[in-house]
Amino acid sequence: MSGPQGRRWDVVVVGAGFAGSLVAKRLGDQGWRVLVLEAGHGASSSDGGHADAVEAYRTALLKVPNSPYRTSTAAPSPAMGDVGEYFVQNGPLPYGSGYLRANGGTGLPWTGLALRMHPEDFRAGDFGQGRNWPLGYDDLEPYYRAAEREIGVAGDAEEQGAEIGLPFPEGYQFPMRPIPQSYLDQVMTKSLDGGTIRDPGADDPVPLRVVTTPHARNGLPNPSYDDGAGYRPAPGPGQPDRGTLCQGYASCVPICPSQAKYTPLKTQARWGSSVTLVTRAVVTRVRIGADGRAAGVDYRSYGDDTAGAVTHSVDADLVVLAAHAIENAKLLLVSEAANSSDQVGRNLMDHPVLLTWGLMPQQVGAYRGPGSTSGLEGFRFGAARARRAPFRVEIGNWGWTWSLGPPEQRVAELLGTGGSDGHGILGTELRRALGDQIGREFAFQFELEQEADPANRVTIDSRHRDALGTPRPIIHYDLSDYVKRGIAAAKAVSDQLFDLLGAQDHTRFEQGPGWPSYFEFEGSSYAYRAAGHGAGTHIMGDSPRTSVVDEWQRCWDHPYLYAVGCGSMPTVATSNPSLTMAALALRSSEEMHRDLLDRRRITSARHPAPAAS
Amino acid sequence: MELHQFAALSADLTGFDCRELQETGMLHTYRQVVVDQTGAERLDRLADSVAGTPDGPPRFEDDSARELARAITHLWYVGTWPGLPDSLPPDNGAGTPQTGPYVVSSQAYEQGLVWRAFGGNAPGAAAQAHGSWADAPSEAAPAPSEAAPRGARDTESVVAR
Repeated sequence: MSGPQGRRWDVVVVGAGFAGSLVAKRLGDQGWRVLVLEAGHGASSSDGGHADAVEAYRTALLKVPNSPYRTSTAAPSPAMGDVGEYFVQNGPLPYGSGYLRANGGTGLPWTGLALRMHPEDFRAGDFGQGRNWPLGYDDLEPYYRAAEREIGVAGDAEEQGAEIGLPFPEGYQFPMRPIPQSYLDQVMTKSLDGGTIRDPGADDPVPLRVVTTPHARNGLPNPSYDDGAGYRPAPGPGQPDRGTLCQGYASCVPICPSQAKYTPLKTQARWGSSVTLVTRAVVTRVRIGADGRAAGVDYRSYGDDTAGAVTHSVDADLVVLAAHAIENAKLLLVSEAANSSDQVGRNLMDHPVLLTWGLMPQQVGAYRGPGSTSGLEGFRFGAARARRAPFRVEIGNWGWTWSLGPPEQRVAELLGTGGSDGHGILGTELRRALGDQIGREFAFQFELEQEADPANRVTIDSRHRDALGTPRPIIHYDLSDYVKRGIAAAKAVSDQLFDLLGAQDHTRFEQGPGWPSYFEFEGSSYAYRAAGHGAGTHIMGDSPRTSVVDEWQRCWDHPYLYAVGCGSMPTVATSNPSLTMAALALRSSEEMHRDLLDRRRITSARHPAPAAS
Repeated sequence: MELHQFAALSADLTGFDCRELQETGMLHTYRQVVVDQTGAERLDRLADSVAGTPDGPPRFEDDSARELARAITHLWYVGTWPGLPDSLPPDNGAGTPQTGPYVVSSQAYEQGLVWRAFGGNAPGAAAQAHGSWADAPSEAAPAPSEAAPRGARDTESVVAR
């Protein structure tokens, strides 16, 4: 660690994940001196620890999202489905998502799907559910384009416009051509396209169409991108000057061995020299000055574990919290900052995911390519969202991994209890059974919008602390009937999809350790997984009375304090939120730059100083 | 246990023939894992009882033999030693090995037979041509039919002794 202590910075960014890395890039490009404090570990190797992480993944017994990455007891990372290791969960239902505290953040294990939100998603309140945004799709559109360039998106803009109704500027193209649809997608297209489905929430039958999903992973560069300038995919750390094409490793979550998937480490590689990263630096408090402005932060550095932790303090003109929705809220609560609205930590949202799974009639080549290359988009918008939560349908290429576990699980079951006598099967019988089943496995992944509900919240309590003495997040979480109606509608849609496909449905939810999120609704059994999309905890709005940040993600209560990331989102919508988080971060960076210029002007007016060095 | 004997036993248990098992490069390693975990004697007993039932599915002396057979098969299919319910310390006086479950190595994970069973690859293990996932899946190598002798025993031609 080169000693940032005692120095005054233009900007301190808390968190070196998706949003923080982008903000640091933009402000660094403007020449501002930026200190980025990351709570977790970083790697000093030239490849950013990539080779070690790939090896750790391959040898991990449980290949869960955080498994490749080095985690820390000083800055614990909640696993997916953490019900007490780090989170204190008070129910009634479990909050199922985790995140990663390491350099690159949850942007390391993320899926890499880069969808825009639908224009309707910015005004969910008009449908009587959740909140409206203080800005609209049109305000964010140029920043969506900037984000698609920065993180490198492969997709088909014309199809996104025609099938989803996303407005793009005339002739817009994504930087890269779409990631090819899986064989499973193509089989589904034959059976589903042109058909309709009855959605219990909708008045009219919903037309079906299998639509290619935009990805933040490298496809073939689009020669006509940027008025013919083309696009050059960025390399990963340690790679030569050009990124590699997606090679279908089928392990995007948690790690892409070819580094074709975007991670924030790619943005960090392009940081200017005025940006300094310090890892193993757990920010414990935002310091607010007597004038109400953000003055800096306190943080604790540590070695390999919590022993020998040292407290530091840094001053900055501007403080940007980019530590994840839950960590940002925790930090504001600890600092007793930004909470005049009493909304800090509230409105916790996620994407509850209904999984349905089964076997296709024929071999479809499961477990190849990215986890999902297409979806059904017709349930994301329209009048039905007034009655039930809207949802997006991902076609899942990785069999039953998310629902029941990877194929290893089927091996263990057939060995233990397979066969007519229930004593297990071996030899050619086992080989044939696995060969028949696993390549036919598939799943539908319904990602439900969850509306902002102030009762779903993160709090802290000094009785619950982590190893470093920092408060752990205490979570109260539930699904509203609105979401449950969405889940029930999604299940009804799934039943019809299975019929249309002639597929064998193996979906079954049972109360027990396999499904801690089990619930019953209107006489039927359901359970959900979670997509890792925590949002809403420093919610954005148009009034300091009802929201924490303004449309620039600046805290209403404190000039020069920003809280960026999915925590700002007033609706989590139905799209994976990272692209929107990136677009918001890039938009906010412009306002931060203006704030910094203003601050400098004020300071130099008060203290006439010699010409800038 | 000689390597060819371990290969023959493994072929009977997995349904993959000795040549296919040899190709994984895991024979030596797995024999060592099993010996370390159960002791040579118990492994020999299992091999004798399986070899004694040349037709039809393998039969086992007792539940303990069946558990060991499952564990060896699991090891081959997944690359993970699952551990045994009746795990015994090795009788050779060596240090106590990890009793499982644990992934033997990244190579073991990559070579898991479960992926070969349907013509696939372990996630994160094999680079594919860009867009190859759009093609119809290749036919998995068919399992030998039940009529053929169980687990080809042409071990001497493929397995270095």
